[in-house]
Amino acid sequence: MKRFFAALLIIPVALFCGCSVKSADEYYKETEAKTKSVVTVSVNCEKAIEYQHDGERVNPDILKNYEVSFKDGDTVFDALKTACKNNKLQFEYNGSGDAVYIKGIDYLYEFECGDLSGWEFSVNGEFPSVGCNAVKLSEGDEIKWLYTCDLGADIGNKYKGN
Amino acid sequence: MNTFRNLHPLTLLCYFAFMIVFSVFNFNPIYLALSLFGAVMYAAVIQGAGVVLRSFVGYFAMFLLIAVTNPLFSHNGATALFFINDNRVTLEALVYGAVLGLAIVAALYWFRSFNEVFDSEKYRFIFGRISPGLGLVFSMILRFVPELVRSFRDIKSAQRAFGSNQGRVKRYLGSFSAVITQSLENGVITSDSMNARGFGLKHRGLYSRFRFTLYDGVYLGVAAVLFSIACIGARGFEYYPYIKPMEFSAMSILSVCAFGALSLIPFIFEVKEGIKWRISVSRI
Repeated sequence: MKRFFAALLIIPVALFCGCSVKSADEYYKETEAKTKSVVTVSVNCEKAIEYQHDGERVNPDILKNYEVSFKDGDTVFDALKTACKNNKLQFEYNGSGDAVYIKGIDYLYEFECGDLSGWEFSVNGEFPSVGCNAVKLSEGDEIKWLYTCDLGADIGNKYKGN
Repeated sequence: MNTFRNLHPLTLLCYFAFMIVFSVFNFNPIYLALSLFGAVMYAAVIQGAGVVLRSFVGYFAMFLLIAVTNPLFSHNGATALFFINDNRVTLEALVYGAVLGLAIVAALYWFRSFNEVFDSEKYRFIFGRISPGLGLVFSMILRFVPELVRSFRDIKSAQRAFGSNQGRVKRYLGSFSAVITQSLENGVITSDSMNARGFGLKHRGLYSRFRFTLYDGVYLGVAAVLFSIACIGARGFEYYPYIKPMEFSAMSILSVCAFGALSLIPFIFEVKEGIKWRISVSRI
């Protein structure tokens, strides 16, 4: 019985060891090494404000053309992470690898403005149909995170099916 | 002695439904604390303070598990405690988890008392009107689990008494198979007995010893009024992104008071009847 409980305990401990744990101060003090290559990140929740119309949120531009420097091989997800960290913005993601999904940015979550609402991203005006951790950055990319209330149709990325 | 459990089944069912529904759907720690307090006090009266105190350990473990698990899966909230893989673990999520745990523990304590109070006779009375067959099956099924536990314990102690020197696993398996055999046999005997007594004949009557008296009506009415006041004036807490306590107005304070009174009804009932009993005994 004792052995059984020990084995049970190992699982969370092992999971915990695979995570990087930092205190809030530590996390926000970290600064990425500056590199020459830069992308801009914007986060915009205009559609959510329109949808909620009497909510507390008034400023649609959570981030506007914020410049982030990046290393070779960094992805759209890394850029968002750095941008949020430098601006002390809250965000939440799920998953790992290519399948990272952004659930919420700045306390604005998916499904808060109807069943078809959530965050989508565009790179230079194009909406890639893959996860944000599967898109590599290149110099001068313009990344926009847009909140949609209609599965992308209201921000210029109508869902066309498979 | 007139106790809370002797009230009419309908009154009891409504009362427990009020308490459990309110506890599960209202994520307001003030109401939940009142609900838990009422449930624990009543359980202490009917089951004994010792039993309830011992049960605290398990419920507290469950509460802690829920409180700690929530922030690991929900990263919403303004106050970051620390970061795991770039996801923040927040105070708000921890508090929300604690409230969730409180709600579940409160509901479980009400169910504990409910199981104690609501015996098979009452089940049959409630469901017998809608569907007599269902009521019977329900009351028989609910009887099975405690029955199995009891006979398992009996068989185990019998085995120990005749000094079985088998290993632990083998002994348990032996007891288990004996229990299964016994309950199968009992099932056959029960059905024979039921047939012999005319189960399944047409024009069966339903006898119940419960009468809805004025007393029950008054209790049901008071509980319903308190419940409506509590519902109408109820204000919730907001947890994300900042914790925003409920607004206090005359209505919401009235609602809290009404709910507090509602949750203490069984306890007060028992204590009042207990005192009456003492006085009447001392007069003899």
